[in-house]
Amino acid sequence: MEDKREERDYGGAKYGMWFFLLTEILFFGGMFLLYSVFRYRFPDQFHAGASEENLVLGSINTVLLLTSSLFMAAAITAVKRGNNKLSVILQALTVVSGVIFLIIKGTELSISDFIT
Amino acid sequence: MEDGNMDLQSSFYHDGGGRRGILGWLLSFFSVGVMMGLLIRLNLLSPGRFMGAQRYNELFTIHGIIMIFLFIIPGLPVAFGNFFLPIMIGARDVAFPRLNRLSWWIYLTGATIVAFAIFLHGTPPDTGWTFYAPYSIRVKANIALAVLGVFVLGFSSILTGLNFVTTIHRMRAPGMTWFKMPLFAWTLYATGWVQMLATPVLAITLVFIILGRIAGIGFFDPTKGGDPILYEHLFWTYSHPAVYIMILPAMGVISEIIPVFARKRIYGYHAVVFSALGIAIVGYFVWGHHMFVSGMSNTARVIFSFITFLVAIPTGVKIFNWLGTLYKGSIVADSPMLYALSFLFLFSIGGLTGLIQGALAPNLQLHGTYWIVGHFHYVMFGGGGFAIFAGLHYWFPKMFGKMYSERLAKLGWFLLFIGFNVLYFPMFILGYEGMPRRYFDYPPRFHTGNVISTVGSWILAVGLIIMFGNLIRSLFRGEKAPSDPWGGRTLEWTVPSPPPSENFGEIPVIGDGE
Repeated sequence: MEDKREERDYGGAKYGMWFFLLTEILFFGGMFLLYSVFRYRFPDQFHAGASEENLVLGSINTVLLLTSSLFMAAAITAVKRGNNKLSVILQALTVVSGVIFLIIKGTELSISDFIT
Repeated sequence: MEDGNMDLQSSFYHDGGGRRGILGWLLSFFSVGVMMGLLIRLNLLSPGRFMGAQRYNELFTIHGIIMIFLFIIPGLPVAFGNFFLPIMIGARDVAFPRLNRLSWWIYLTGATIVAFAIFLHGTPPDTGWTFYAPYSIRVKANIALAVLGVFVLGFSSILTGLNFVTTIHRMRAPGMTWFKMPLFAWTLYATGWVQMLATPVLAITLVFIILGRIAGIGFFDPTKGGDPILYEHLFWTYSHPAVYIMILPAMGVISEIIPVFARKRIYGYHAVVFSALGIAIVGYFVWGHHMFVSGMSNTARVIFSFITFLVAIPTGVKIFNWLGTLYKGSIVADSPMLYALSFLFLFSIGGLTGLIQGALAPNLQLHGTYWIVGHFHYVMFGGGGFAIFAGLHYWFPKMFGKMYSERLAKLGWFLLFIGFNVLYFPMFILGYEGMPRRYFDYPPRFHTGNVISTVGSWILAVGLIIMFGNLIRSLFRGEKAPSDPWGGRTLEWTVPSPPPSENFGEIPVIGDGE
């Protein structure tokens, strides 16, 4: 029997990915909506809260977040150019930055009195 | 399948065991939900004799969670859609078979988490399936776990919707144009969009219930400046469209069955298609009618009430089309058709009572009463549930390759139909007279109605036992099913029963005729 499934449908995969991103927008959109509502209602409290944040850790995390996206984008380009080994290294770097991000987040939360 | 290595590639749903097993799982969850429903009714026969108030609250909560999130929402798309959507559009499988398998495992994980919430140390959830804040944030029950379970189930639903929409866009056989697609495929398409657009909103809302409990984030907690009404808005932004996730595929099944058993083509195919899309779109903007008495401006109330009436139009169009199909048809009253006709009757009652409570003045009287319980059981069980049973009897021979006893199927249907009405119709009267829902006890004047309703639940249970017993018996003793026992004209009836792996030897080419 000839195997039709070997013909990969990249167009279809793109549909799937876009649909997934759409659901993500709605997911995080809900959160941003909640955030905006409360920020609008309590501007002073949000301002006071922001002054208690740790500037150094926050900045490092922002850099990590952006860099890990860069690694991932570069990994895709590497695959497209046929350099699988480089792509694996870049993807590993993405994962590592993600883990460091979470460690820093944990530290941030534990030194604040966020969790009651 | 000859070459085993392909299994890993894609094929949980190819080998029939997997895709039939899903049906077994869903019906098992349904049975558990039914038993809880029977216990709820048993308490109302004589409040306090069989259980305490706390246990009663837990029962109706878990009954709701199981029936909605574990049975009706995944019911038609997952159990029947996975099996028949690819066949109906002439494809070997869905667009993302591995994602499909993943979504099934996510579903089972969600179900397991819900089970933990029920049986783990502590109190089972007792908030009602809606998890209304701030009660759900403060109460000492296993809410966080139950909510996490529902959150996980939501992602399974999103992935299923995404997969079906992509499948319909990309996998149709040559010649299978959009407007040649069977109506079940069309309704799954509309449902897929609703799943993608609505479920994420529920997911994020539930995350903030969990964060409210664990991290003290007060978005929905008035003592911290939060807003419980905002929770209701976000919850119903998902949960009203979820009603259409439950009912659209049901309408699809009915649109398949009625033409086959009336021996006619569907009357107004395009109208049925566009009304399905219309319901999916308009259904997104009616959520406020769940909250008319929660605190909402009069302008908002009038708008939501108006849009609620609008959604009745495409639904009415469908009812008209089904009746038009029956008109002068050569009607064969086999069991799938009996279930489909019951759907028409019960769903019409459900829909029309929905309009009564969707109008502002009656809503003040009816909100939070047994009227509402009657209404949504007529819609979800009389509509969604009966359509699942219709589909079950229609496609059972195709899925399992066995015929069931028609005589027993009819007997089961008859008891189920009678039991259903005896069980739920008194609720309209009780509610209209003012009996509140979710209450453990009631004043003596509501006793008669409750006794009738509970007796109805027993008749219904006997009907269900006969129905399931008949189907299970036929798995072992049933005659072999031919490829087309009903005279169906969609593609699934062109392949053997049960269908081979990969559905078709040769991908069919659809001509101009059907």
